[in-house]
Amino acid sequence: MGVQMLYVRAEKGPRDVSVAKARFFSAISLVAYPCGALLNALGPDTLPTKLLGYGLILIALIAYAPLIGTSLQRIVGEEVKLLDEYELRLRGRALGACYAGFAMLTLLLVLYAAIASDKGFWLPTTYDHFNGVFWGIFLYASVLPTALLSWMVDPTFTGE
Amino acid sequence: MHNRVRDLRTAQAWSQAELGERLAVSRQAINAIENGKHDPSLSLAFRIARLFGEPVEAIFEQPPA
Repeated sequence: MGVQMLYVRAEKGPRDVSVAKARFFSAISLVAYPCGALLNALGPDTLPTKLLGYGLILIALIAYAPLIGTSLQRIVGEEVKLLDEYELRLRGRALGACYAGFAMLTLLLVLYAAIASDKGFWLPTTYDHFNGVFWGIFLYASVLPTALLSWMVDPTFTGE
Repeated sequence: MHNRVRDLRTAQAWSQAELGERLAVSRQAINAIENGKHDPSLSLAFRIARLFGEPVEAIFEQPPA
């Protein structure tokens, strides 16, 4: 049984988005979401701050859209039996790096939670806070494998 | 590993996608093989050799250590 990620299979086959664009959009998505969520949770409770926070979250989602259904996302999300040997090798490398990234992120978050509970720093406590954390992890699980893969392939990946 | 896949493909006037289709692999796999980013499995190397009608060792060459 293979690892199955979130992947939307296009009827006409995967779209080719350039490697540079994939790197750019995935970086925007991965950076904008936590910035927006943290701004909403920690920033002053004013309308401009909230607008900026939600705006950043919206930008993170919009930046994710160009990656959906691309050949890069296909490699990390498609069924294993539908990939060739080169794609499987790339998938293994991308998911391996993703595992390491998630493990490190988890360790850092647990470490922060331990220190924060001792020192009285901010920790998520309300439903809204955990809602933001949940969707953040969901977004990272969807974007991170594609993002890492885009840094593992040559710029010639999407052209001859 | 050095190989002559690009030369053989262009001699047939095939695109990477066309060659990939004939070998049942992706265009990206052909691109990676041609650019030396991926060493094909034995099975794929033999399929490539059979398609171009040449022995494997005439297409793929291990560079001297």
